[in-house]
Amino acid sequence: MRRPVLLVDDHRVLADSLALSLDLQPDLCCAAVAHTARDGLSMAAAIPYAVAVVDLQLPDADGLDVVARLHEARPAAPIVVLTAHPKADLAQRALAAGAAAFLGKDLGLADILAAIRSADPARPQVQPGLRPSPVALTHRELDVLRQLSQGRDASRTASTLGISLNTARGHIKSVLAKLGVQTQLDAVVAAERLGLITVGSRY
Amino acid sequence: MRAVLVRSLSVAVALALLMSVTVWRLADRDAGRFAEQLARRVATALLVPMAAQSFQQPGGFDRAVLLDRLQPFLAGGVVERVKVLAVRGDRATVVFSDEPRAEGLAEGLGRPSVAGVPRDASHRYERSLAGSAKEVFFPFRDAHGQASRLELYVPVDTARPTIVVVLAVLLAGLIVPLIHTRSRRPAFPAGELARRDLARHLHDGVIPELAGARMLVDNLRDAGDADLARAGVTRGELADRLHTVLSSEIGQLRTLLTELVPPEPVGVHLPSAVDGLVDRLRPASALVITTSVPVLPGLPAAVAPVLLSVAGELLRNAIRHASATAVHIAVTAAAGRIRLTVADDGIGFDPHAPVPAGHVGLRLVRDLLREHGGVLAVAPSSGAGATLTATWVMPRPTRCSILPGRLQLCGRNSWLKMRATRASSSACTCGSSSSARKRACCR
Repeated sequence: MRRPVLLVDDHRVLADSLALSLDLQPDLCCAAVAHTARDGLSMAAAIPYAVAVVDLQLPDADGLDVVARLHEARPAAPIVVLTAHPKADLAQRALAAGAAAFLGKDLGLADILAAIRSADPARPQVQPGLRPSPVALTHRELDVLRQLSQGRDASRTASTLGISLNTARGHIKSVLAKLGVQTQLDAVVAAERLGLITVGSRY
Repeated sequence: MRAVLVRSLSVAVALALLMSVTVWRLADRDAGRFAEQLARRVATALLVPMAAQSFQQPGGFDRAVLLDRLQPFLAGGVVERVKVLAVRGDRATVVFSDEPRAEGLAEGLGRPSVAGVPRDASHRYERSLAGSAKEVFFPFRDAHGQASRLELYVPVDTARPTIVVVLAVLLAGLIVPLIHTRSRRPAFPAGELARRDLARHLHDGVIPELAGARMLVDNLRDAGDADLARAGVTRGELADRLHTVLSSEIGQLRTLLTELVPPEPVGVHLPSAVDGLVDRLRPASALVITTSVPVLPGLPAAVAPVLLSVAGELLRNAIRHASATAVHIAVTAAAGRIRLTVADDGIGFDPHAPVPAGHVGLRLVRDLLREHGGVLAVAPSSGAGATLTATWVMPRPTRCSILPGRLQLCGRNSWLKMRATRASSSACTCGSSSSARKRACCR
């Protein structure tokens, strides 16, 4: 019995190659390939699958939301996150959202297949060697930094995160201090250089 | 930063004051020497007729003859006042002057032979003289052997204006570069936009695609015939897919290279470079991207990569944030201006609204443009698409030939001298003073 795998990834070359690779395995097969979060969620509702492989960077939604919704809809099917941004803090957030594994896209096929085969929410696995952030920011500070990186100012950041304006300003100040910069824009660029966030993405 | 600025300013002011005092002293000494030399020349011409008069006898000297002698010097402004004093003991009394009211006034002796004009009652008629003056004394004996003194008042206007000019120049020289560096300090290093673009492309495009290609290679190596038969593919088909992926990868990297380091002449390749950019960024969705880009043979080499970078960032913004169905990229050149317009029919955004999404990219675009003499204009719109226009004002090109190893005035910027490094003399185009253009001119 081959285990069907659902792929949600907007990167066509990688998704199609992985789909073909799954079909070539004696114990796995590709159930479906979705290039958007919307397609992925509707396919998940319509097609049986044993494991889902989800990219965090999707054109229409936050991949972490997709992970959470798939996990909620079918807790028995483990979710493997496959991302171009293999970062330690992102791994934590993915596992918290219900992922069973967190892997970088540059990992070899054998490792990816092994992770898909052994994915188990009870024993979450994270790609070894993920670099911890060189600057220790709190979860909230990272949230604020991500908002800044999307061009939001303090007041919009506050309303998006559901915190008060003063609290948001406090977080921004502490982010600037920890990164040793003067302006919010410099903070975004410095954080991107350090790999804390990726400008243009939600992470 | 403020602390640094305050500190620098304090140092600048202190330095300027110190140097001013020094310069003031030097200038004062120079003025004294200048006044003495000038006065000596005048005195040489005056002392002979003066010594022929008898100043202490009533009617002993001919006023008209003396005034006649003084007139050329007074009229030419060489001296401003002339006084002859009769010396008795330690007092001297004015017995003749071109200012008759000064006659009869007494003044003390014992001052140096060159001095500033004192502000006392004896010199009340000298206060109205234009500018500042130096008093220069020449003792002589008149026709009766009486001790007399010739006083010449020589204008020395140089000292004070010199100080003011020196002070202003010093302060400006120290402070202007400070302010200049501060205001022109770009928020980011020059290549930030290009770096970001390259990183993003490698990250989101090249690496995942190569990872996909590697999967295909792994399959070619590892898949058994039974697996291939079951999946319905052949090794030949796998190799074909691999070939397609790698070809596309090579094409994309070549496009990226063209954007980063355009081949010259750039303007000739501009349409294809923009088309390549569009192909690279075109999203999977049904977004219609049209371009209208002419061949621009005169496009400066320094502007072309900036134009492509800006076009890429604006297009990326439109794709990501505008929810547009169509984007049009146009480049026009007219009246010494090159204009890049990226217009979309999406949700639009108000540039004055608090920080639109994509703000970071736009800030980088503005910084990059400013660095290369361009400006970004955002046509205000809400709900009816957005039009962003980057404009470069091209310096009017002036032809100048540069001889090897010669310093040559370049065009209208006569202060800008350039050294030709070429082995042979060649024609070059020069215009703006920016270092990028300078390099372009002398390359």
